[in-house]
Amino acid sequence: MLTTGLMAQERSVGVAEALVKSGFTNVRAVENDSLFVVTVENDAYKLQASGLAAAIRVLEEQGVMDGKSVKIVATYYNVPQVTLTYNPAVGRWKTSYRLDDGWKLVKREAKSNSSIGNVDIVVYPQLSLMNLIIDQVYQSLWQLSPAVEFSPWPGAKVSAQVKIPLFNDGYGELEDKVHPGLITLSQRFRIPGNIFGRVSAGLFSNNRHGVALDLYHPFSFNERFSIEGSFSMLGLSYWRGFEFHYNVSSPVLKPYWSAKVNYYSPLLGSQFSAKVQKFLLDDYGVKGEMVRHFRYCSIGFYLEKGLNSYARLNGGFSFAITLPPYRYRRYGHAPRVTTSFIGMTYNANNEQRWFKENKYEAGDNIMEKNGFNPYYIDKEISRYNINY
Amino acid sequence: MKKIFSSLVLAFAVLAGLFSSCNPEEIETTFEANPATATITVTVLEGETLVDITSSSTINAASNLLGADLKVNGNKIILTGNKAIVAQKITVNASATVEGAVKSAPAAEVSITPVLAGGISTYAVTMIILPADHDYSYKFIKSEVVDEELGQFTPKGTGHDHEGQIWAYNESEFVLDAVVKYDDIHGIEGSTYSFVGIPTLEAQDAVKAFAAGLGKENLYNVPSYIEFKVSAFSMYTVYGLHIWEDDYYDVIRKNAETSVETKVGEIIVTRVSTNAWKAEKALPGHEGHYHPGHGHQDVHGYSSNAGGGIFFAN
Repeated sequence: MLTTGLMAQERSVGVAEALVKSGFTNVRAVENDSLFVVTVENDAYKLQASGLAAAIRVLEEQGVMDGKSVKIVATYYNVPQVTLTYNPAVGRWKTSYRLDDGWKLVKREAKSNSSIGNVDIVVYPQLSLMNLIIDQVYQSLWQLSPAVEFSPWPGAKVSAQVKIPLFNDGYGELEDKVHPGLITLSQRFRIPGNIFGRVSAGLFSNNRHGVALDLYHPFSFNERFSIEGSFSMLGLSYWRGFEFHYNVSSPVLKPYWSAKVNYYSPLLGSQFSAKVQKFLLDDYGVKGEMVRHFRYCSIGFYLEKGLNSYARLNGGFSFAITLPPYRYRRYGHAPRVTTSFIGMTYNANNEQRWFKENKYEAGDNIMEKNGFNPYYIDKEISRYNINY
Repeated sequence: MKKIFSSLVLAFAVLAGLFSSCNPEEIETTFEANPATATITVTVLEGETLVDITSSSTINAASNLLGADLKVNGNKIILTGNKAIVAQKITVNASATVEGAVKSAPAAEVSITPVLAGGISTYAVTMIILPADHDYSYKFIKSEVVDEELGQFTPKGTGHDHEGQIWAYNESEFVLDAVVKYDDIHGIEGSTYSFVGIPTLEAQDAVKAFAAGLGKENLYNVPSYIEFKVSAFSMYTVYGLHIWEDDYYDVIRKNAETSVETKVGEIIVTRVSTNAWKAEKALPGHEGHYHPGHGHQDVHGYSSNAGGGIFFAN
């Protein structure tokens, strides 16, 4: 049955309101004769796939899936990430990095429930361990690292973190003090050709500061394959309490870069990567990594080798666990307090000088990018008992 | 708009509060210790009048240099180690034009004590230019260490007592630049003399004159600075060692006709030198983090651990 323009507009408004009521931000909805398209940004679910499954349920309840093709464009900090397409002929949802006619149709619509200015206080519990002395199994550093995070304009994210030591055994005087952690301003963007980018500036991990550019490109011919690149100019700095000490001796900033090739196996639910890097000590290294993604955690194993004679073969594992609550609400304009994840990287060869990689946002972890992995989303939403 | 404004105010207030002060520093992640240096300051006296003629003298030195370069700059002989300087002897020669003729002083010998990379040591020696037809001369015999005094710097702020010594801590992962002031004392304190047998009055005068010249008090006591870098995760201190040595000389009379040399007296010159150096070692409990800067040993990423590795928080 053809839908008149007025009825289409009323229905799209109703759908947008229902999505906003369910906690989604940056909501747009539009309908034409053959297509119903919405954009949503997940603000109520810790896991992206959970949020998208909830969006699908809202659309079902609104009766949108009545024989017409339906598309959901998921955004992140207002930048479109993936398109979920419902094909009524097949009766299934399919996710892809591609932006198609649906995005062109919906992107000019007015947004409801903008995420600009929403403030979160995100708590990152951190635990560090080291086995360096014979007469003690592990020395440890326990920290609570809350960060104030918000988006001041589309694509941007400000994150300002404070590290609060709870227990410090062997990590030195500097970690005994409350001191700032990562303080960053990032700008996410997407350019034609399925290229996702992020520019970050500020104070990063490992006592670095500077600017960084990260690029990610999944291949159109087969989205299991992707490449990543990172380039940054980094300087050295550290905190003594709230005193900021930064290097002024030449060179003030030094380049770091990396290039990485990825393959995701939907069968194994795992990503395999090979990476080459140039670090700040002017050393080069290669790294192989495998990360298995589960619903609430990811576990990875890695091997790395420096290309100079000093850096020996090193390896270990890493994990990231998403912390509850997995669903939350925002109450008016008040900052929302929540958790993010807890993760660690194990370094078997006690390597502390070479292979130093950097985090450019407090929320960076091995799970994060997989949140918008099309194969992972398709598998996860099928587990939420959605009636197609 | 109200939501955005109030959120921005809150967020930037947090950011502003995070910076209580900003401190520029020279921060590096790796360094090489400077080469050790040993400097001998030479004073030259004219034999008849004991007037200081250093500025018009020519000084040179010779030795079988062991792992060091030697350079003469005016009246200073400077050894630069290939990092450290090992113990060795430097023979100092001096000559000057006196009454229209080039005359030389008997060679002096300075014993250089070992100096670690980055360390500084200073010495002084006095030499006397003798007339060509002078019946008397002197000859260096040996040096003996008679006393030593070891001092240690006091860290600014909190020092840490380890095994009875005071150390400063560098608990960061960065190499720090440090400067420590110390008293550089070197030179001649004085001399004593004795006669051999029953020399003539002329011989006695010669012994006294040589003793007065060689032992003429000439002490340098200047505040000096040792600059050095400190490795990450280390504790460090600076030592200053003053060494008193007795230089033994024989005064000899040379018979112009027979060329037979007769010893008529002995002189002991007391000389002081200073050696300053930095010492560092791993911070207790951070032996795995500690990697000495280049120059002390090769730096490797691997260091021994107790088997359990390290977990970094993400």
